[in-house]
Amino acid sequence: MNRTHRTELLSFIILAIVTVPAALASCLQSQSQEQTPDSCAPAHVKQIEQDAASGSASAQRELADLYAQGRCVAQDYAKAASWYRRSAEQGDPEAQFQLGEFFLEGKDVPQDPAQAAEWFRRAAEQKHHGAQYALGGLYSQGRGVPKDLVKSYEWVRISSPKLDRHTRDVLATLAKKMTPAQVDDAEKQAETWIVAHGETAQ
Amino acid sequence: MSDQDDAKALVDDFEKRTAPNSWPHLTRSEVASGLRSRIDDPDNIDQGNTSLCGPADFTRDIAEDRPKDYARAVIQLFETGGTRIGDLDIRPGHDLRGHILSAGAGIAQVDWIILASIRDSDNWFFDYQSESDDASAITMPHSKESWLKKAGYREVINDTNAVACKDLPNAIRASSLFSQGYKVALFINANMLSADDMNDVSLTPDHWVALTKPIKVQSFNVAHPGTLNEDPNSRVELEVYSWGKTVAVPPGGKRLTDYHFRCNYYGFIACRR
Repeated sequence: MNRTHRTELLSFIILAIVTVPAALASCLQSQSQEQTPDSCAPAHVKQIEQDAASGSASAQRELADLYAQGRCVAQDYAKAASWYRRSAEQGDPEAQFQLGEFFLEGKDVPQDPAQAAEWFRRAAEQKHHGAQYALGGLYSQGRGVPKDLVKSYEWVRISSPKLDRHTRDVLATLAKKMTPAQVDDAEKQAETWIVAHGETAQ
Repeated sequence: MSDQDDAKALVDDFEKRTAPNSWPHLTRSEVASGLRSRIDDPDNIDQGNTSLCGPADFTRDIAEDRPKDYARAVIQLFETGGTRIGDLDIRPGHDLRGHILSAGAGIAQVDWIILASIRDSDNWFFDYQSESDDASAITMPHSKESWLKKAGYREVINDTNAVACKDLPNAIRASSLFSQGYKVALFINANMLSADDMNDVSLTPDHWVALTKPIKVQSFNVAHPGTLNEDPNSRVELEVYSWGKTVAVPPGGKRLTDYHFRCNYYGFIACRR
C-alpha cells in the first residue's frame, strides 16, 4: 500500500465515521416523524375507520396504509389489501398502485403479476408516476404482461416528464437492447401521451 | 459433538440406506456428498443457472445456523417428498419430483432438491421444463420474509421495494443491523456484481445476495438522503455471498459510486437467529 492509498483509506474511514451516524439519525428521525402520537390517537384512527366504512376512497386508502405499515394498528396485510381494493375500485390511483404492489409480491393475496400490471395500468393512466415506472419494469421483464421493450421504454419515459437523471440512465440501459427505430417509436409515443395528459415534457 | 457432526451423522445414515427415494432422477450418493460439502461450507450452496437465488440465500442461512435441520430437511425431501423447517412446510409437487434436471441448469442435485422445493411450496408459478435464468421467477420479498418467520427467525425486518430503488440510509441501516448480529439479505439487480454492467442503471431487482461484511460507504450524499445526485468521489464497497461463493463488490478493484450502487439496490431483509 503506497502513501496515496493510505491517505485515501484514512479519509474513507473518517468520512464513514462522521457521516454514518448522521445518516442513521436522519433515518430514525424520519421514522419517528411518521409515527407522531397525534396521528395514532384512538379518536383519529376511529374517524378514519368510520370514513372508510362510509365509502370514502381516501379514508379507505389511509386505513389500508395503517394496516400495511403496522402504524397505529397491528400490521395486517390481508386487511390492508382489502381496504386498498375497495379504494382502488373507486379509482384512487395511490390505492391502485399499492394494490398492484400487493399482487406483485403476493402480500396475503395470491401472487399475480397480471393483476399487478392491471392495477399499475389503471393508476398509470391517472398519471401516477410510481405506477408508470412499475409498469415499465413489468414490460421490461415480461411479468404479467408480454415482454415489450418499446412499451417499457414508453412508460418509464412517461413516468418522468422532466426526465431526471435516473430515468435518463434507465432509458439508456433499455435503449442498448433496442433498435434506434424502436427507441424513436417509444419516444414519440411517450411524448404524445405526456402532451395529451397535460404534462410538460423535457 | 457439534451441530455439524450431528448433521454429518445423519448424512452417513442416509447414505447407508437404499430406499426410499421420492425423486426418481436424483441419486442418493450424489445428494449425500453434496450435503457434506455444504455442511462444511454453506457458501457452497449454489443455484447455478436457475432463478432460485431467494431460496439459495434462505437455505444458506439454515445450513449455517442449524446444519442438522438443513441435513434433515434435504434427507426427508429425498426420502419422503416433504419436510418442515420450523413451521415452514415444504411439499414439492409430483411434477417437480419427477422432473429431469437438464445439464445446462448448472445446479447440484443437493441444491435443486431443496431450493426448487421451497419455491414450489410457495405456490409460485414455476416452469419445470426450464431451470434456466428467468428474472420473472425472482422470489419476492414478502415470500422471503414469510419463510424466515416460519423457520423460526426473530425480529424479521423487511425494508425492500419491489419496483423502485432504495437510498443510501437504507443500505447503511442494513449494514448497521449486520454489525449488530443480524443476518442480512440484500435485494439487488445483478448488474452490481458485474464489472461490465455495474454502471448500468436497472429498472427492477433480479437477485438476492447475503451480506458477509459491513458495507463501507464514503459519500457526501450519506448526510443528504433522498437525492439521486452522484458524488463523483464517492465509493461504496461490500462483500456478499452470491452464486455459491463470497464476492467483492465492486468486482475487480473498480470504483462503485453511491449513485450507481443505489441504482441497482432495492433494500434488505434482516433477521436474528
